[in-house]
Amino acid sequence: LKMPEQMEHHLDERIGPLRAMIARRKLVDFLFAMLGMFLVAASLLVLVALFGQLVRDGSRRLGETHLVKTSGFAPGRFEVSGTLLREGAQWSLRPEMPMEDQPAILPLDMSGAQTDYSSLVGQSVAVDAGRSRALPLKVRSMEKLVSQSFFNSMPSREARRAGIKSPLVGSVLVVFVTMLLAVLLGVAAGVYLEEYAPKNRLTALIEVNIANLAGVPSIIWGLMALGLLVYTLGLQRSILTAGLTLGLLVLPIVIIATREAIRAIPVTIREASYACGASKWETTRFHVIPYSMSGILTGAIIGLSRAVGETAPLITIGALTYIPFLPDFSWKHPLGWLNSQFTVMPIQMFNWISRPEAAFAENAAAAGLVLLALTLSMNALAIILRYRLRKKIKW
Amino acid sequence: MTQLDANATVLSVPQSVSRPRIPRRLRWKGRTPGEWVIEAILFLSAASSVAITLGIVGVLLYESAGFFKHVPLWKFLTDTQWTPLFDNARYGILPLVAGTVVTTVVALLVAIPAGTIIAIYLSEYAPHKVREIVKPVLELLSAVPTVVFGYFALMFVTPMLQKIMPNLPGFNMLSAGLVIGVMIIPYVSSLSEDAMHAVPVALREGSYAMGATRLQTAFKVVLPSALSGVTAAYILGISRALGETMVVAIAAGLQPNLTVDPTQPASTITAFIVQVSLGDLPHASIGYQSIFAAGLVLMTMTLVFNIAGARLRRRYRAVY
Repeated sequence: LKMPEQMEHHLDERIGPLRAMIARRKLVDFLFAMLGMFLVAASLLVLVALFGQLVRDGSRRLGETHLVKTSGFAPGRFEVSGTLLREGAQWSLRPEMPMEDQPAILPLDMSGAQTDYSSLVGQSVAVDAGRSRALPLKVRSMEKLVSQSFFNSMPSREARRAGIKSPLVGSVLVVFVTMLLAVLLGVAAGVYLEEYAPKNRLTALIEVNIANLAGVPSIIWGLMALGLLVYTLGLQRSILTAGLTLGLLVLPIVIIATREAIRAIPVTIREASYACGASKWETTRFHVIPYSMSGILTGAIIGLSRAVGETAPLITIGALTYIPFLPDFSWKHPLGWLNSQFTVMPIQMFNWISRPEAAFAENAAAAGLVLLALTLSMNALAIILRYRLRKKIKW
Repeated sequence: MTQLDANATVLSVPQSVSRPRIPRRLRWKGRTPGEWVIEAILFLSAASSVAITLGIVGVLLYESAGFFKHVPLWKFLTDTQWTPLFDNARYGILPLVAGTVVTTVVALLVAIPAGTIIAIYLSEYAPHKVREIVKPVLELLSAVPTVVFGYFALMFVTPMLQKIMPNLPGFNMLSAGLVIGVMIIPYVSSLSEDAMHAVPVALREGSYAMGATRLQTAFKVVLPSALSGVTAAYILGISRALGETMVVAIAAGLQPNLTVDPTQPASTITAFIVQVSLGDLPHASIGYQSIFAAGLVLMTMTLVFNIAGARLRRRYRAVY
């Protein structure tokens, strides 16, 4: 059976535009999907660019070591460090960090030196030249130097000597206090709201309140800490204040994580426990909390990673200071470090960013790299934990 | 559970597991004193959050009250100069509000279109596997410390923009806003995607059966049905952008500047608070009180957006 030629042509005329329309619609659909893919790729590219910029600026600094003197003579008016050289009776020094107004090799006048320093030849030394700035340097005393890495040096006014020892220790201590407060208070509050709370106005108020606290800008937490903790409670600008501030800031995250984890446990588990004669707290303590532990842990890790990177509230309580020392610890006052002054990684990084010298920007990038590694690895841990949890537990 | 989920509930109260109601007279039967003490401790932990809120509001109001004793409210709201640390001090919040609004608008111009399109792509187009991988990886973008983003804005984005716009100053609101925008993309995309994912498949199938393409279905069926959740995502993005501190403090300059031109340097409310905190201001001085007044304004702005958002959500709430 064959269609008359004319009719076929007529049909084509009708279907043609329809086909074209369908093709157009498919194309638009496809283009939109490409746009979506492009935007996802672009967002991830920003992450890559961020990482690349930090690596480019800061990676050199991370592996670098420099020379410091650990103890010894008090700093004089003029001191330089470098490698001690000797040629016959001529002493000289190759400076560690050549400055513009210094020659590559500084002649030394050892007549003022009181001891014999011949054993130090070829070693890294710091030279105390007293008041004399004239060349050759008239050496008063000399001391051997040890090399130190970025991680093992204190912040310093000299960019290439500066390191992140005290900020790193400060961050760890502050996050420790944060964790204690946020996890203890957060889990207790979450357990109360899920397991104990009666359905009344007060509970509703607490729930709305926690939800709203999660949306408070972080700098407002800093103002609260400044007004309440620093001045009203008189806690000063201490590790305790910082830990409490960040602990309260991440509290809503921990509470909400706890509630979600607890809500995933079926009622039958609780009923089985009650049927065995367990009291409410026994059920909570031996069943509900252990079973929701990994969910709680995931939330706590996410909260702590936020606390590690949080800068603004700590600046507000006045933590931006020069701290070239570690909080002292003694067995006599095991909690004495809580009252100590501190600095943390993001604040140290901000401090270095705001300095004009380029060498400090390098330090900032290196600190940023460490900070990024810390927070991203914590988040990765949380993602893995969540993923494994989802696979493992099927109620 | 992620950081984003935690913020997702800013506006919604989680539903608690329904439990049989126990008559009041029986509620304490059979409980040992130990049980009672534990319940009291747990209750106090939960109630502490209310005390924290009262603490925040109380401190802001108390210190601001001291500030408004020196500065009349109308002057605070209408003066166009903000120079509280100068000898000839002027206290007009407008320049700071302008800076905050401009950086927020720039950020939203990036985050809302990009976040929404990514959400539609992930929910309507991407295969399940891609979604499962892309979502957590995108969320890493919001896990980067803001001070690192600030460094990125200053050292990477600004020099790049200066190649296109040679007259761009080293500190400007544009690069700060762009970086904040990228930073809040995951907030917008993740929460919008959750909302779109919750739209029943039957609605989509109905649309496809009528001959609609995926794009038409996404924009005419899924997006309107998920509008309540998408609005929540936008509001969260706005609050984040308003309260963002370190990026603007590092990349936008610290000079209060009443302008709507994003290529200019300007200070924001948050950046001002940081700037004052860098110095050592005596307690109870007017400069010290001024940061609380600025904080109060920021808090009010965030609150207004959240209340408006809650209203919109209620209006668009779809019940399937």
